[in-house]
Amino acid sequence: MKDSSASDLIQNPAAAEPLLRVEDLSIFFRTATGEIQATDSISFSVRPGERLGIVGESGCGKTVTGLSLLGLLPRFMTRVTGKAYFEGQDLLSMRRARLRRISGPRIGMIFQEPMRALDPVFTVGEQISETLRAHVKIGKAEARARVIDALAEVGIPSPERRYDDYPHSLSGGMQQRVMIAMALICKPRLLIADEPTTALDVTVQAQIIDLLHTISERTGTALIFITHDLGVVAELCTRVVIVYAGQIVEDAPIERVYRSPQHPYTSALFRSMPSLGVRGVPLPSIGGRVPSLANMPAGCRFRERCQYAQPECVAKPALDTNEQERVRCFRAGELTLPGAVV
Amino acid sequence: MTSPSTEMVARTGREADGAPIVSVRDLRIHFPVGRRATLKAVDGVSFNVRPGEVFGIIGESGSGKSTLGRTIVALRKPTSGTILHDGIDFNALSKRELRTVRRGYQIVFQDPEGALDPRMTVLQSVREPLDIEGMGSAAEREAMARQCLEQVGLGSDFAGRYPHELSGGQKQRVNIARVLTTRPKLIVCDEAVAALDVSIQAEVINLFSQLQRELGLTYVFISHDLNVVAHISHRIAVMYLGGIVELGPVEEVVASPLHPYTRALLQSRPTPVPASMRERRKPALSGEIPSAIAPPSGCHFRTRCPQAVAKCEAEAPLWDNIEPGRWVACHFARDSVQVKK
Repeated sequence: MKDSSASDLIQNPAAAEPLLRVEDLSIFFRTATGEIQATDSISFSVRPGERLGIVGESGCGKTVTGLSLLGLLPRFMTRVTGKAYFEGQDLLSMRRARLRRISGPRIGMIFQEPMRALDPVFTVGEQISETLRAHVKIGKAEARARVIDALAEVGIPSPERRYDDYPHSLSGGMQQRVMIAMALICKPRLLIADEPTTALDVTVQAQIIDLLHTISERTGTALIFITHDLGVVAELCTRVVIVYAGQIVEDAPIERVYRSPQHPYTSALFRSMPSLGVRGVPLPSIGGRVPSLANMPAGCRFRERCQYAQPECVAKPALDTNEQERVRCFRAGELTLPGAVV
Repeated sequence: MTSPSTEMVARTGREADGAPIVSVRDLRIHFPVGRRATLKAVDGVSFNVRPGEVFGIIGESGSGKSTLGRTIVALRKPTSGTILHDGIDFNALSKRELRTVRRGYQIVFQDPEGALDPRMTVLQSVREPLDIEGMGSAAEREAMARQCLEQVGLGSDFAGRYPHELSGGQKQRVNIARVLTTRPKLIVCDEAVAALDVSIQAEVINLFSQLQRELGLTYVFISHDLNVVAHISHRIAVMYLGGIVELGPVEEVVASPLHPYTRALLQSRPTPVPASMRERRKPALSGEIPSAIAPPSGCHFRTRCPQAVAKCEAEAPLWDNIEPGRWVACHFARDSVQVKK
């Protein structure tokens, strides 16, 4: 079977028309020794109100996938192929100016380190106001009022005062709330969040997750949540895509993935989590390491670390589609793999 | 793990089951900030680390856990209070004596990259502590370094490689091999697995456990990740804003936390169970950790504590040995223990 694109999924009458449909997205880095491929034909879709988790380990291509959608990869050292239809228009083939006009107000993005994304010499209010006024024609006074509302909405106490604060005077959690307020100021339909809670303390992380959950439920904003943390995804997402070595290996509703993962990598990730381990018993680790981008094996990329590998795995497995689920493994359906929930 | 009377333990700091490997008493580590202010990174903590145990320290950023860890291995001097290593006060030693004794107490840091010199091969890096100490002949030092590499699961083909040729997990193994060369009794692991991906993290946690069994090591295992600390530790200390708020055997602390902050940490840790398959929880705490320059009066946790009353503002709670082996600093801890019974 050919790698199926997300378009197969929408034939399911239960599913709404996707807001974002990514098809065969491949990202290449130009290096001194030639081009290396970071992602291999990534396809997925996000429906309105859906909260999609994209999970993988460092270097798997999850972050560059998010950046590529907004044209944020440096052009001179990357090449992107494929399509990414957002409300019917291909983001990847758009000119930058048009992409900014279209995606700026419709797609918001937040990052792991808010301090790097905020400008230290402007107050947080000015920065959010600037974002708003770049896309909406309103006066300064009205913009200020809307920004203060937005700050209040993300749970910042005394927002009138905070408007005039500089980023450095806010705590990490408050900075991330400011980023969320900025990303939401134009009422986007899609929010892309790349490890937004990784740098935060666990009690503050819980607050930010709760905030994202509440906002997406109240406003219907769809969410792409990029992370390495299967615990955080469980708190927030309705669907999860697992990425390994630049390829999607599994994509399904969250309950299904956590109860009965179909790909051996997904299952191995769960088993190596300390929270699921037994004290005094070694954690089941995966062994080996992720193949390097410059030297990907031809067949199944997880083969050498997979305890279920068979001779047929030297061929490349397709991302098979079944209803709303996809998995890239020859032995899917035949194996019963442990998940996180019994 | 029996304790004699509460009073005795509190005063002498000696527990019934033999001499502690590290004994910390009323330790304070303060830093001057600007002209007048003082940052109280660690402000009055006392505990014993027993030989052969994994003593976990959990806390959020700014709780003082890393400062405490560095002070345990004598990378920092305390402002006041004492630390005894096997009964010895490092302050009483001459420079030369200190040099020999402190070899027994090592530390592994979070960032595996930052701790390695990019121009040195793996073998050179691992051998370096021995070269500095001038122990044995060059051949003996090399043999020792190779043996330590073997112990952390890096075969001889790794010896000639440079850090950039290694993965994060392999680099951290090199750092572990490096501290093993001095044959330490105790290793402080300061967020030693925090920068690693989950599958690699599991391997390094397993390595720590295995080395402990094989070499009879003692660890002070510092982490912000309760899941990691709970997996590897025998006892855990929970830190908040410069103080330890709760200390006890890991199973008991996790099953029946006595301090509201410990309860909040347990509630906040993400669990790999989809939200739709369980009750949705509200965040356990609002707000964030206050500044250690101007900590709240009384109980430092009171500004975020759901149970706080006027007393918590007026009086700092005592460090109370509430049950055998369990310590807590909360005005309400005795009430909640009563209710439980």
